[in-house]
Amino acid sequence: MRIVHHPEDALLLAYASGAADEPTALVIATHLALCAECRRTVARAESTGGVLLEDVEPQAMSAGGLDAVMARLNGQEQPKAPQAQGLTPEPLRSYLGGEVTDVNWRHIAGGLADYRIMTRGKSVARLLRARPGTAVYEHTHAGEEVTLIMTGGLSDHTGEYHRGDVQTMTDEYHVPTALPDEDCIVLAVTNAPLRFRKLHAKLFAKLKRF
Amino acid sequence: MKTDAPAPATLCAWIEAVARSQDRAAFADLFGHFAPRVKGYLMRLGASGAVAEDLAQEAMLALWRKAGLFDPAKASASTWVFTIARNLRIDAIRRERHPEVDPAELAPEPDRTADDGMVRVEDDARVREAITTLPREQALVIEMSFFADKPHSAIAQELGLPLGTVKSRLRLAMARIRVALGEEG
Repeated sequence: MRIVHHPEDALLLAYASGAADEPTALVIATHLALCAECRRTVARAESTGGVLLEDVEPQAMSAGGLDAVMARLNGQEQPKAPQAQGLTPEPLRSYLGGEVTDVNWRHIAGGLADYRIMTRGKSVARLLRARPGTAVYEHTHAGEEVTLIMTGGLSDHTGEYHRGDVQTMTDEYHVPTALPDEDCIVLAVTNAPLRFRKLHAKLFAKLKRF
Repeated sequence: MKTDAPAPATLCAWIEAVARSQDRAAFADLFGHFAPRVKGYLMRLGASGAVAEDLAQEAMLALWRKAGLFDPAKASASTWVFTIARNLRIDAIRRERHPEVDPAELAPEPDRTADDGMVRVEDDARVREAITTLPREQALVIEMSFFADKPHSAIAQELGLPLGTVKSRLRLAMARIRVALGEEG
């Protein structure tokens, strides 16, 4: 798989430092499962965290700290063995309890369905499924939308996106359209409601609490 | 680095001793080195002394439990402990998880060198050299990324800069670190 569109460095760094919210971190981590190049970037950012940790002003632990921890060392269970990867790599699979194709979809409108994974503050992670060739109403974003392609592909005026690719959109109108061959399922995080251009789409989004 | 700090290779060896034989003496040495640093890191991020103490203890327990997963070819000891501390902080203070890939699921990658872990051991020194010689404005946004616990948009606001400027400084800083590590884009 050749990934063309990557998250920007600032997002990868926010993931590595721990500053990214959980929905955003889920999109990034799922992209990492599919992208060795970005894994290396995150590893470099984490090395930076390692150096900052090493150089931080140490704070003395309480007198009994070591003994308290030593007393608890027994009975610490070992991590479990992992399972094989299908269409849906970790960490996304654990959040869904299975594959992206098997969630309990909510029908939105002709060819579109969604599945909400989690909300943390203003940040929402969800799966969106578009049947082949389906276009999403023209919309823009008050905040930022980060979208990772899981199956199929989509295109808009910024280019074509396939499995593993990430699209980051802010204040630009776009009409993402699923490519014709198969269902396009994306993992998307938004930190503000979408803004639709046309009135009927606005009313519709309100109705569906999209 | 403090001159009395153990060498990166020593830290690795201690973790491997914990993984191999539940070596409690090695664990005590790791505690002596890392626990006060994890506590310091958490306090820099705004945790109280008591909360930081508890979480530093939890981080050391996690180190004991996960020592078998430590891979010195992938990360230095300090980097690995940083990720443990980061995840515990997110879990305990933000009540969120830090979603992560499962390394066992990933296709094997060719190592940068087929040697031992020596290259990684030198990496920390290279990264330290790179971040201590960054232009001040780049160093600041890197530091805030790790210690301010804020999205970059909030960091931009605090610095009175456009978000794009903050992002491009981060990109430049990351590029310097990549070059320092001898890795190609």
